[in-house]
Amino acid sequence: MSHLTYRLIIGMAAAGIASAQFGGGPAWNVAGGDAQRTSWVRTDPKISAAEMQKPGFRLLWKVKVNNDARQDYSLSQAVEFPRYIGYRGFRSLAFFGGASNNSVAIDTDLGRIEWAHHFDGALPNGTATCPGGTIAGVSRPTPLTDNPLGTVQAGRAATHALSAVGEPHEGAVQVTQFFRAGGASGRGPRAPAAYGSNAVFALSADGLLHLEYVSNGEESEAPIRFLPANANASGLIFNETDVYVSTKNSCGGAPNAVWGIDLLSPEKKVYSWKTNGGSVVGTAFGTDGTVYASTGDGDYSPAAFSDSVVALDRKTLAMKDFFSPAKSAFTTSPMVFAFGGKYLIAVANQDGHIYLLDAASPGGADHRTPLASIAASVTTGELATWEANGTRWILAPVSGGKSAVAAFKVVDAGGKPSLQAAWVSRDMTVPQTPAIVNGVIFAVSGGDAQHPAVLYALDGATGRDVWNSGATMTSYARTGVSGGSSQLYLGTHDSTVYAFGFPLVPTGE
Amino acid sequence: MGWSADWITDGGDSQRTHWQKDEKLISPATAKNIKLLWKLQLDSKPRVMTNLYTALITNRVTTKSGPKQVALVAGVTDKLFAIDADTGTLLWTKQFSSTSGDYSPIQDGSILCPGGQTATPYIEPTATPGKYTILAVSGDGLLHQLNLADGEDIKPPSKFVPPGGKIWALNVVKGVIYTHTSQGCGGNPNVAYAYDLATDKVGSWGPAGGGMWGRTGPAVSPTTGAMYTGTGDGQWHPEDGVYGNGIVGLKQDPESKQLKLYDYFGPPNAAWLVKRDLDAQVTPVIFNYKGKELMVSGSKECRLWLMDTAAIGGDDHRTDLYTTPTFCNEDVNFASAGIWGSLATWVDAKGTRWVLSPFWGPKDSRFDVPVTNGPVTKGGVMAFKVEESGGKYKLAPAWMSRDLDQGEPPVVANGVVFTYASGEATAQAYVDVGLQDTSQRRIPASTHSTLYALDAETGKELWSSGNDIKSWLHFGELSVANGRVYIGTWDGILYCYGIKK
Repeated sequence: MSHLTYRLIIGMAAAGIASAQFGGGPAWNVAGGDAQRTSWVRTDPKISAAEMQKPGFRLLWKVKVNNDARQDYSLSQAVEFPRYIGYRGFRSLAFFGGASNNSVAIDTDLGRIEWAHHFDGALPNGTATCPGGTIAGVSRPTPLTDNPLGTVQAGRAATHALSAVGEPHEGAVQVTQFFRAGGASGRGPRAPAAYGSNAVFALSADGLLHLEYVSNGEESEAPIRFLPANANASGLIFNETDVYVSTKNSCGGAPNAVWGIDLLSPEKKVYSWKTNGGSVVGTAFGTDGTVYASTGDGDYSPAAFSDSVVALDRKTLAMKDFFSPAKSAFTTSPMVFAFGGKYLIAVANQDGHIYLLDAASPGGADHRTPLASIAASVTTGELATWEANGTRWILAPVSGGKSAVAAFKVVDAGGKPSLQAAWVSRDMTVPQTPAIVNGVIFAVSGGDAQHPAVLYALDGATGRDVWNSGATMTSYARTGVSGGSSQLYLGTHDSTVYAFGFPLVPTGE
Repeated sequence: MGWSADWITDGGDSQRTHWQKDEKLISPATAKNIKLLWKLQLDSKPRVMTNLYTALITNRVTTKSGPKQVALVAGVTDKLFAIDADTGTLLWTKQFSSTSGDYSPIQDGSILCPGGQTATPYIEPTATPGKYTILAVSGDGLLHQLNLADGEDIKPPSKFVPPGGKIWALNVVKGVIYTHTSQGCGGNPNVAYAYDLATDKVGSWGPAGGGMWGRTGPAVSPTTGAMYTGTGDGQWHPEDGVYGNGIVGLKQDPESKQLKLYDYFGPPNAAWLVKRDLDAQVTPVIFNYKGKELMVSGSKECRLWLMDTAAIGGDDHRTDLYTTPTFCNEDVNFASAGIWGSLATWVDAKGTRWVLSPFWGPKDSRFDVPVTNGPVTKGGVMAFKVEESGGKYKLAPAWMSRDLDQGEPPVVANGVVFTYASGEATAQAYVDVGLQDTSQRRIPASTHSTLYALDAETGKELWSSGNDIKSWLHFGELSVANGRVYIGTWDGILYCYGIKK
């Protein structure tokens, strides 16, 4: 073919502007967002410090879920599946565990309940320390590796409409070089699905593990015995082959422990690491698979690992290392993040400090020496972290003198990480775990029986208010906000799910 | 016989009205007498889920054995079959020799990209009465021009489109063949094509967005001279020259023979259509109404857009004359729901202009239609009347058909609506695995097609083929001419139903 004639209809250069339409990057798969429990969504097509200064961010919908709270537990933090192609169509879904033995999926575009599932089995008479129920949260498959959450920035197409004409008898001009083939549906051949890829994992009050189809909530296999009934479980997470959870308060006769179950083993092998003392407050995972767990107060002897942060082997949960500064309970789960070429752990203690540990050797040779610490009382939620412009930040819901969200910077002090106080937000009532979306802090004033929850958007650099939900919510909350793809979700004690964000698209509804 | 009718292109005419204006034998009164006149097993085997295309009917073809009414059927494995429509006997068969690619039968493979001949041909009348030229495109992308009387080449094959692509039904107006492609089949971009028969030049235009997969190919406006098509699944950013999930009008430049963007319409919720994979993929239908040329198209979302071809999207390219509410697909599904295929339009004796739309899945519970014919769970046909008052246009719901196991494109003939339930298993995703669109699942789950005749005023069932048809039909169309209705099924059988003269 010669003398081809190409002519651009519109000669605009390809634009690199983010597009709102195509969510689908790594998603908020588990409580804390990722296996490291960072609560950090790196990117978002619409949420940004600049966009939050403009009108538009608002309540998108609210949905009442058929669920009853048990003590302070109602709905879990939302877990997302932003682009699922199922038998009912393309969906953006959010999943919640409901304390009264429920799980529910919501179509987050339309605010419609996609499915709801009630687990069989008796619910115990709950107490504040042993509420019973589906309280461990739900999980989608969560990779251990660094898994930057955030919407894939699909951008505008790198091509534009083209017109052409070929020479006589030579057919159409081959314009393949300008257009990508295969359409835009993203529905080409797919690799075999990994185990659990179409499942939501949930734990019912009777200690059974449930694998529910993402599509309709039906169980893909018979429930699997995982824990003793009525344990107080938290931090449910599935990655690749195993599910992990931790227990506290010795509820239901379940020892305080980190528990794992190998779902690919024929016998569904359950294994555990027991503290022989205090509760397990929470877990986080290193990118090498190491399980880090923090523990509460209890027997403080060589036979027990209360008041500690322990490092456990992923497949056996055998202890590899530990840190215990003194007989004082840890109050948050560990959180793992990269800094200065290594992975660090941040965790808060009842002694009023946030500790910074080297994930490769928590506590050093004497198991008592952190890399750094800073004063902060953290008792009402978990830590969060993000990085911006080369600065690593840690956020903490603090209480004591002032209930608020406090921000700290991790800095290099002579080759050693150190913590610096940066800012403290406005006052909040029972502040919950914050989330960071593209540099914007979303903090929840959890409220109480007299004060409904309020969602705040804060400037990441200063902590200054940039938006709040006002009187939108009518009940209090005891979980952090979660989300992505320009929407945030929060379930309140009255089992109502609120979605806030920028409307993605006019649906035509 | 003092009258005769042809069906020389998919959809009946270039405007894709699916309206057989010249039918006399079949009527609401006689439809109950429809019988199977003949059926013919053609030597045509499927490629995955595709086999036969719409039968094209020419009433009086001069052949060596005298004038004949000829039904021409294309098969996916690069075949053409000419059949004596009066007797159901084969006149001739043509097998194209591929210059690129193997287009022999296959069962397993890509449903979306079967390869081989993918477009219904076109029959071009010549200046000589009784002499017609077949225009067909083989899987290797060559344009063939053959004599309908005997299947012999009139001209050597000429390069048209890239091999292995998926072009849709050919449309021919004033010596230009229009078609478009989708799904990026054969590694080819999704492009609209215009073959200029006078110069053998091919103009092309690509939306840089989705594939164009209107089942009946493009519609061409007699007024504007442009071809119109939906641009399937892709982003709508006209400011960047990206035109997915909208409607575009393309026009051949008479000098250069380039195909150029002429007009466009982007639904206000185009981004939503992308997000939920609700492609704008319905072949538009064009008609006159009160002095205006109007056009209707739709998408899997299950709305219809009523447009004025003078400016299909208004000044801002986002404003049509009227948009219906969703009348199906309340679940917002990308498969087994919504409008799939093409529309029909006709004018009744009172001058009322009707638009008919097939649909898959149940009716939207929020949609009200005055006349129904039983509950609809799997699909049906929805009929609208075009109305205008004070310059405001509307598609007013009129009736809904009985339940059809996938409602397929209707054809209107003398007060009778012919449509068919395809019997095709259209699910592409499943509870346990999500998306798994394979022929191994869909072929065994498909059942059989059923042809229906409905009263065009009410949708009431007048006749059906019952369980007579043994196989199903993927992405097919009907044709109606001279008291006969034709449907070809996946097993390679062409059925001819009608009323004996």
